[in-house]
Amino acid sequence: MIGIKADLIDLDLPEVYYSIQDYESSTARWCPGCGDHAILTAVQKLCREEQLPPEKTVFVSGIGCSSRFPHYMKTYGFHGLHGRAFPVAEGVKFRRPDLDVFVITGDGDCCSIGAGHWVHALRYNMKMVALLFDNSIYGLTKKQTSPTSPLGTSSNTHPRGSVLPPMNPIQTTLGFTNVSFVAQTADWQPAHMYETIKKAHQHPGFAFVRILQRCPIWMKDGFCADVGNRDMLALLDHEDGIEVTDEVRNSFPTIIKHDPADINNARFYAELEDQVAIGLFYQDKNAPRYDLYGTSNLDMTNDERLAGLNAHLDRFAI
Amino acid sequence: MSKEISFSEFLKEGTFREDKVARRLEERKIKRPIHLEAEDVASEKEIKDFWKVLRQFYRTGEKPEMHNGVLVPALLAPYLESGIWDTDYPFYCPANGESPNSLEKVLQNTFNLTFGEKAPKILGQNLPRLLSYFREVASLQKGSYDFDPIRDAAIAKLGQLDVHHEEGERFRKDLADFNARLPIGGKLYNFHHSAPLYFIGEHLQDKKRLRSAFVSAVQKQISKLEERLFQETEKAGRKLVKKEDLDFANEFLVLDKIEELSPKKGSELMSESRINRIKTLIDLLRSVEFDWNVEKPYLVTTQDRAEIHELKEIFPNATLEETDLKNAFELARKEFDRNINKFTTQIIAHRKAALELDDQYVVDVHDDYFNHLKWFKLSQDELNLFHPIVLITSSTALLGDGLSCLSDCLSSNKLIKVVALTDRTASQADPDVHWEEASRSFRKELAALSISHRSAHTLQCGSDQSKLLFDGIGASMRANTPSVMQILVPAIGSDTRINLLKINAAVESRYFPYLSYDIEKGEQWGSRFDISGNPQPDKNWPTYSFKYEDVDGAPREMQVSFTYADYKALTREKIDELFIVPEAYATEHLIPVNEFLELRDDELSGKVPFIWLVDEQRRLKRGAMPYMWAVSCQERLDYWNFIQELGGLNSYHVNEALYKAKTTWDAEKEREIDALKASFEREIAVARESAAGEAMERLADVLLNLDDLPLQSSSKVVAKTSAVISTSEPDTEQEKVEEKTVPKAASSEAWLETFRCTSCNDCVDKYPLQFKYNEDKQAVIQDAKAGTYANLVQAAENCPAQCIHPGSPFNPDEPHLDEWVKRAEPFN
Ligand SMILES: Cc1ncc(C[n+]2csc(CCOP(=O)(O)OP(=O)(O)O)c2C)c(N)n1
Ligand code: SF4
Ligand code: SF4
Ligand SMILES: [Mg+2]
Repeated sequence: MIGIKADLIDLDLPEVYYSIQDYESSTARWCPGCGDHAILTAVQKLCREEQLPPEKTVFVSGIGCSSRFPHYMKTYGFHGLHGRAFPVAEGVKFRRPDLDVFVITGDGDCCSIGAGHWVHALRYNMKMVALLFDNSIYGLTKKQTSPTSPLGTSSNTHPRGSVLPPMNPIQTTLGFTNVSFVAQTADWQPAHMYETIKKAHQHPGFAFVRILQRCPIWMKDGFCADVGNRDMLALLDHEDGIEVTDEVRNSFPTIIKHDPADINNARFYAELEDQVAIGLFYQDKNAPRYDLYGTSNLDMTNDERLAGLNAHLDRFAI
Repeated sequence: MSKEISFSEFLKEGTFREDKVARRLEERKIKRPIHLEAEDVASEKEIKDFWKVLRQFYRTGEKPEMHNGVLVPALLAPYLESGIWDTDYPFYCPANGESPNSLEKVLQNTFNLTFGEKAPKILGQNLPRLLSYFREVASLQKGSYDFDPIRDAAIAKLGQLDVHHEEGERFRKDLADFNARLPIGGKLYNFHHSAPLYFIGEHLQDKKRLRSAFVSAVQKQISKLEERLFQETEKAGRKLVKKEDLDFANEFLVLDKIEELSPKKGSELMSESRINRIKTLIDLLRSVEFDWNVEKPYLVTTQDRAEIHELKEIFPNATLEETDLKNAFELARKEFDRNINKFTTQIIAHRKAALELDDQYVVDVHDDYFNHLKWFKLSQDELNLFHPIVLITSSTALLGDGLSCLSDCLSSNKLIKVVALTDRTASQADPDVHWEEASRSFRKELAALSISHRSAHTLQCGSDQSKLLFDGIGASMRANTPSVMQILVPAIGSDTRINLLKINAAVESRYFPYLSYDIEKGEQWGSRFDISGNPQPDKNWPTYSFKYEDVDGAPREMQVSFTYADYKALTREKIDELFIVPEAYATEHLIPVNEFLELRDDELSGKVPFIWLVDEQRRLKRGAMPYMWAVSCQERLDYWNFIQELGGLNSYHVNEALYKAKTTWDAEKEREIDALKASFEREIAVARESAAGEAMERLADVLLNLDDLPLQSSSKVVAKTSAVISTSEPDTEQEKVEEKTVPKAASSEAWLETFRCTSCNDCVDKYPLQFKYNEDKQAVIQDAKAGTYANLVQAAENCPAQCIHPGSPFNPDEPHLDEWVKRAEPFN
């Protein structure tokens, strides 16, 4: 009714405002020029923009340079086992659906040793953001071939150049059952990266973001060389996709109109010939979520649960 | 030692998170949105039997079940349940009388004024919180407050908001800037049963300011007139300069010329009668000076209202009289007659003085004119200086015995302002409201009666919206005609917030529509009526979209009208007069009352009207109403349609609205075009610069003899078309490039594309004096000259995002400058 409006005393406004410094922990020990710095800033900015309460936010990681991430965030964190970030994060989300969960993983961590968990994390579709820091190398252990290393990459494991074609994490995720959000961005495109992570954070389900990440120490010829090459990236653009300003949009020579509801086209754009597409490949907001099952499963009182438990145990009584 | 807890104990105790989940689930159960509940299907026979009873109920109002329990009109349910509603109170009146407004607007306007385009986010977000702090301090118990202490308290409280680091500093600075722009002094008014009287008080204050301005004008006249008289006596004492007197200067002066120069007109002596006239005038003007400073506004009240309002507090500078209604009109009339004559003489004196000072007073003409000048012939501005007589009473008294007195008063055209306060929402048990029972009788409408006295200014207004009320009262007080202001105020001693909702509902339901009739508003047909203060004034009933859940939990939306029946249903006792129809029996014959009232006679048979209600469990229910209710809705609708007609809807107002929409549209477009132009110009500037840069690069390539020119379109074409031209072409191309770019690249400052910075820490760590991070932790140039040019070039070389541009050197004495300039080239 026109004369009446919401009473302001009950306004749902935060009592505390966090700034970027409130999310900053110890100084990041990544190498100078490492793309991880940029990702850290983008994530801290997201926390600030969304005013995520630090005590309600969790970063879970595996092992690798990238997986040091939780140390640099003044939130809850879990620096876990190599390849096991997803199961830990799923456990957290299952029991504490009220927390905002982020998974930080590397190409080795996710696509190699952790690949099994990766498949099921996508299928579970629990609400969380998964950031794959893809520098196409094992960074922490000083240069071993990773599943995403370009063919012919010379490394400690393949001094004369790698022999297998690299895996395409975007194409792979698009093939997993119950996938609901797949996006790609690049650490040297801070504006696009920020918007991508923001979109992922809004997604009601498991949001997978692959970030092309520079490692100037071991992969100097990799993405580092692409920073000045404007033609290397193509922008996937759509009103339902990643929102960018005209300034950012116009900085891309190639812009591809792509509706993120269209999974077939998404698969096509996942493997362009000379370019790498960044943007939102696919989104389905209605995919079933395992974490909802988890919380609704609790729809009984403690007494009821105890009675149920006792009834089961009684069956074993002699 | 930590105590060991077994698993089952753990569960029993209920940990923090178990509790939380349980609580949330509990909440979810209770907080099910408004919904329709699933019911068993009724058989055809059951339905038939039920409708027999229902039709009987419609005709007679008799029904099997007496009590319906707690039910509220659907549209109000969300408000009532949450206890959350508010309007635009408190209202702020500045000390200097300039642009009073609702506090909310004052805060917003001050915010816009302080920050313009650069609105700070946190403070902007917290303006509503600030408003709520104001409201907290100015609790609803009192009618009026001084602004300053409340502002200080509210600002101090907001200052304690937990904002950290740079943002915190910025926030507190923004708050201080904002506070410095907030007005000083003045008063705040709450939603209160005396609000209209406080507003009248403010308008009387306004009048006081006008009057003192007039007194100063009069004082000026007095001194000027006195000066004239003084000159006259001077002149009379001393003879004019004569030729003989100046004989001694014969040799130096041309005496004839001097005589020509001496003033002719002023030199003539004033006639005795004029001097006397001016003297009388001065005496009269002195009486203005004296009287107007002591004269007070005159208010007369009837006892019923005098008991309720703290009149002495509200009108500290007025003469207050309390008596019965009949006598009140008599006193008001007498007071008017007494004051108006004196007032008229004084105004005339002012006019005469002006003529005298201009030497324009012509006795033959003006004496007669002024002798016959009556008060109602005075100009609008002049009449505005008159203290109107204010009569404060209640609508009930006026509609009872007072009607003939009121009619006499309005027909007499005297500047008497009748304030009729009513706290009668239909909800109160009132013998007068039994009109509804007599199905075809009509309610007496004070506003309609007042309008029928054609020249009386009429206002009917709820008190739920402060600005509307304040402006309405202002227009009424300023009108140079008698006025009637009928205002719905909260009943004293009852819950203020419930009253606010009820008054709003009274206006929304057309029970007490907003209406203003202003004879001075203009000639255009319908323009004197204004009903725009009503919700959706072009419709029969205001209609809103209403969200609920279907039987199967699916979200649904429907259009629901707020009718007079909904308003009635706001009262506990009336609810029981409705018949709740279970969903299983709701056939197509059960019709929302707004649609029911639009049916043709032949469509009516068998139909029963209903309204949507919501019970305590948030279940949506249909409340069928008896015939009497439908009749009372029809009666309200008739009155509303009558007002709509008077308001000339579809003519004047429509055109006004169209015109307004068009002008705002035009202004919008103009702004857009300006913005486009500006951004276009910026783009051109950027393009120019980058073009220059590119050209420079190409030039460098050529000079360094690098193999081929960059593939610019022109050279491509050349290569394809003819080998002959291609040899000469590059030269001219080269020259062009040289011409265009060399002067441009001469000097530029270092710059950084912050939006591309990847926050790698490199530049800020190595050259902290020259670079720093902004609020978003992206690098900006802090002070390029705080280090060497060499530093800048190295930073650019190391920047992984290649977003640092060192520009040109700023200190010609720096060593190895040539080398650095060369190294900087790829980054500029
Ligand atoms: C179970 C186990 N196997 C192997 C290792 C050794 N290890 C440490 S980090 C790493 C690879 C990390 O690569 P990636 O996930 O790409 O992270 P990056 O350092 O590139 O960010 C390996 C194999 C380990 N820590 N634990
Ligand atoms: S080794 Fe590579 S990935 Fe690891 S911190 Fe250094 S630059 Fe980053
Ligand atoms: S060196 Fe470049 S990317 Fe790194 S902080 Fe400085 S401007 Fe940003
Ligand atoms: Mg890696």
